[in-house]
Amino acid sequence: MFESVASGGGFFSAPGASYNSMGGDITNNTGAIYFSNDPRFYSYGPVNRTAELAFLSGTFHRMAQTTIHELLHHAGFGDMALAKTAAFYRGEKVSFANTWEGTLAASNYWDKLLTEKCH
Amino acid sequence: MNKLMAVAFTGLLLVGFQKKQMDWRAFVPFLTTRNEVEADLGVPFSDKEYIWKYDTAKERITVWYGGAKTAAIDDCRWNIPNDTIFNFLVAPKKRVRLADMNIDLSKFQKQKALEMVQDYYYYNEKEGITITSRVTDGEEILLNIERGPSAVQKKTHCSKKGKIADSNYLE
Repeated sequence: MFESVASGGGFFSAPGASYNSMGGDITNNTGAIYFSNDPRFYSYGPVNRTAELAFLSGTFHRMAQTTIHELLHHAGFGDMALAKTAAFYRGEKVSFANTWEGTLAASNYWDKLLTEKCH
Repeated sequence: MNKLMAVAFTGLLLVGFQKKQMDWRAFVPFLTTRNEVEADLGVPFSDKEYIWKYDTAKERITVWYGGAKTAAIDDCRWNIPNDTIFNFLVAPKKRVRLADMNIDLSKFQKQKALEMVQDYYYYNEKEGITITSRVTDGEEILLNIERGPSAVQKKTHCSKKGKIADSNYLE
């Protein structure tokens, strides 16, 4: 799937976007993933290689997690379904607003479990 | 041979007793009890406390009861008995057209699922229902129906952590 996105719609950085997202359709080789951050290292002065490497490793680590999150969407799993699965896995009840904002909260909820349990 | 026939007979009995389809509208969060659910859907399975799954011939229903622990991100302390439905999710086992579900979609707000290619959410905040659908092969099919606390129940049965509930309801 990673290869399909890389050779299809591609990976894009969209600094300033309020959330990461996906686009296109992996089934016709147009699947894309959009990151809301800027992965470039900026230095006001001589480049400190140690600082640059630390910044890049942390940034790419988060982007790798985002990629897994978005690939699951490309695989056809939605935020509400994944949040309900996470709630079952955790053995807890959770109520999300029946609105767009509630779905965003659901996205953050299952993503947090992914981060906690898959590290 | 006798053992084989006994197993086959038990299997037939189980299939025979499995309910064909549930009426999800009959299950109301904060009102319907586990006894009532199981009188309708039969014996559940699960390895979680107060979260049970039920199978009918046409769908799988996951029910979160009041006794399940509340997620840390939820800012409510819910006033609900342990064996009363908190929320539930109905997922059809086979392809079902949304149009065939006999749901009045005019009561819902339809939105394209942001991060999905062909999925849509139908929100009914008042009744606490979210329906997820997917357009595939030119048809809109039902993925699942989730029903939880209604807008009123979110006010009357939720004590904001650190605050006192609006209602006098006590477990």
